[in-house]
Amino acid sequence: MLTVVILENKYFDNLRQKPRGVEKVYKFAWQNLSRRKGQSSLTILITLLTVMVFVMIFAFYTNFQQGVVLSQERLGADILVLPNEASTDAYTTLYTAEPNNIYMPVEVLDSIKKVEGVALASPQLFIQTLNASCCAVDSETRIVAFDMDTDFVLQPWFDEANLDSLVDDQIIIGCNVPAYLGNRVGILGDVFRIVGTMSPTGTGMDETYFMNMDVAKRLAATNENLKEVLPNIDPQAVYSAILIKVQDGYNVADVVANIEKADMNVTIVATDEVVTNMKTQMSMIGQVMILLWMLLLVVTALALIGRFTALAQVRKKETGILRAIGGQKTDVFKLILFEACFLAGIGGLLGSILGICAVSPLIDWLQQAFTFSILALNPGLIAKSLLLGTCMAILLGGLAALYPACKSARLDPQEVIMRGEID
Amino acid sequence: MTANRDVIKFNHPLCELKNVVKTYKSGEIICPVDGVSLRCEAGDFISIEGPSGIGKSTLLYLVGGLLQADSGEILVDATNLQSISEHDLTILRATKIGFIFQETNLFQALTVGENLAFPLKIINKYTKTKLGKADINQKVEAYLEKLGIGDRRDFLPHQLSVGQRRRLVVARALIKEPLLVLADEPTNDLDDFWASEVIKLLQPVPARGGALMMVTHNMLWAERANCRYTMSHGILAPK
Repeated sequence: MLTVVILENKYFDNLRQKPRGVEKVYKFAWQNLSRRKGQSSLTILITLLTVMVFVMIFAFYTNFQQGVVLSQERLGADILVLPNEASTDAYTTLYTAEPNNIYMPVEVLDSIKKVEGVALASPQLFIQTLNASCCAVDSETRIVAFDMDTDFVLQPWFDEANLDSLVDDQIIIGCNVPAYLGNRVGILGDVFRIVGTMSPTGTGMDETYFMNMDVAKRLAATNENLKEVLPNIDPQAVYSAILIKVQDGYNVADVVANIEKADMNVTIVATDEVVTNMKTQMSMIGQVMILLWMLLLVVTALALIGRFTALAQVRKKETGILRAIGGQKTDVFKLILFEACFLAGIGGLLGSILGICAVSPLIDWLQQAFTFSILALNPGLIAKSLLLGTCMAILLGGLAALYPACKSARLDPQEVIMRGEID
Repeated sequence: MTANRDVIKFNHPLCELKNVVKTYKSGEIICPVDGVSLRCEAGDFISIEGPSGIGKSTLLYLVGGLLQADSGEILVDATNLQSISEHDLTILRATKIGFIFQETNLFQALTVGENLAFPLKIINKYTKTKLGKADINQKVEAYLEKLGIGDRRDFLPHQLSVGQRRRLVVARALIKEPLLVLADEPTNDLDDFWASEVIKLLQPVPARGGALMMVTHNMLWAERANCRYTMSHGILAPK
């Protein structure tokens, strides 16, 4: 009897000119990763730690650089003249809010105004708060009194806040100064109204109280406790600092030299010099940090190459099977590369997040240990750090997996199926 | 040599080997396949017997395009394997050939069901019409039931016994209903009952117009073939 069999192979005349996309490879890769949790976690951890360190260095260093530039821009003065005292320190004056009770005669201001190249000169008087009871400033913080008539440093803030001048009970605070009693604050027994909060500068200005020169002189003359802190000081006869704006067309260094020639027994500091010095110092620290991180990067890259090579080695038979049942060489390549990039990407993202979380305490700690200018992390920098950290990790993972991926794709399926893991 | 010629619609053999030679050079030159010629028509069930290490598996790998012959011609469905690109050879393997390897190699990160569905998903990549998820599931279910591992669908391979893994490997080769099934000792590790069940699964391959080429040491299963060969010193001879 004749039996007719209908050939069922439906793939026979049904081939596509171009194979379909690789979504199955991605799904397979995901299944490999999600079900090999131990191996995946270890790879993620290695990448996470490296990226975390990178993001911490990057965020800290970038933030510091931005802070220094901003400080310089917002400081407004080209030259800072301070008394020539042993306790005088330009860094402390510029970048901390610690009490800085240094004084020089008021006559210095007149002499400075006469120096060639000086466009503007404005005096400041430093006094300080004292440890006090509740509802008042309870720690020792610098108070900067400024001359409303000559000031050019704080004037932009006044313009911004639509203020003409500070009256007796008014005060301006730095962005990090806490307010008490709503918008009022008790200082040296008087209550002041806070009429403005300055934008962050990354300098000691952020923790400083600013008040009218006349009010500060009155407080210094009448407050018994403050008089004990500042003995033998006549507030009417002294200034703590003179801020100078150089005339257009004059070089700051030349004006500094001119002031030095006048022999006023003062310390003269070009603010950009302070900033430049700090930038140089931090740049050197930054270079050391980057060097160490690059060593870590090399170690991580080697560790990842080792891991991905080992994973590819362990799965040689599977690679052979994949090729034998119809997986192309490119599928194998993409599979390994995708797995590596995915794991590294996860590690990178987590590392970036942890790095960002860890950098704020690091900044706080470093600020306590060193005197330098730094701002709070801004959203732009956070986003940039996350993006950079994650992309860097993906790139690292991809590069580390390139060799094992190529090697696996080139494997002879028959050989690995028969010989297995023996290389 | 061939049976049921009257039921087949092809006008060419499903597989043909013409004077195929394969040598290995590892220290000394070994020639496991030495001038083998074979014609395998649609509907054939060919058994290849012979002692271990004599080149039977090598022959299957050659037919399946996993090994390149040194000389001679291998044609599968009228396609000369030596003359097509690696890419096309892979597609041919995916769509027309089912391998049952001697070892029970499975994707360790995929469940039993996913391992079984994998070849169908690979085929979807190459064919104009795609098998739907429901169709794939239905086929997977059917094969798992036939092989007595229906309740192991969500298990990972390492959670199966050796025998269960063997059955899964057989199912993986058959589920895509290939033209040519190359089975390298498919009943290894199986008890008589499950060995018989596996053979029952293999037998319909020739019956539906495909061909089965099986390497085996088991006389009982070899006797079911319509063409029996013995391999010795690289030479394939009818039994």
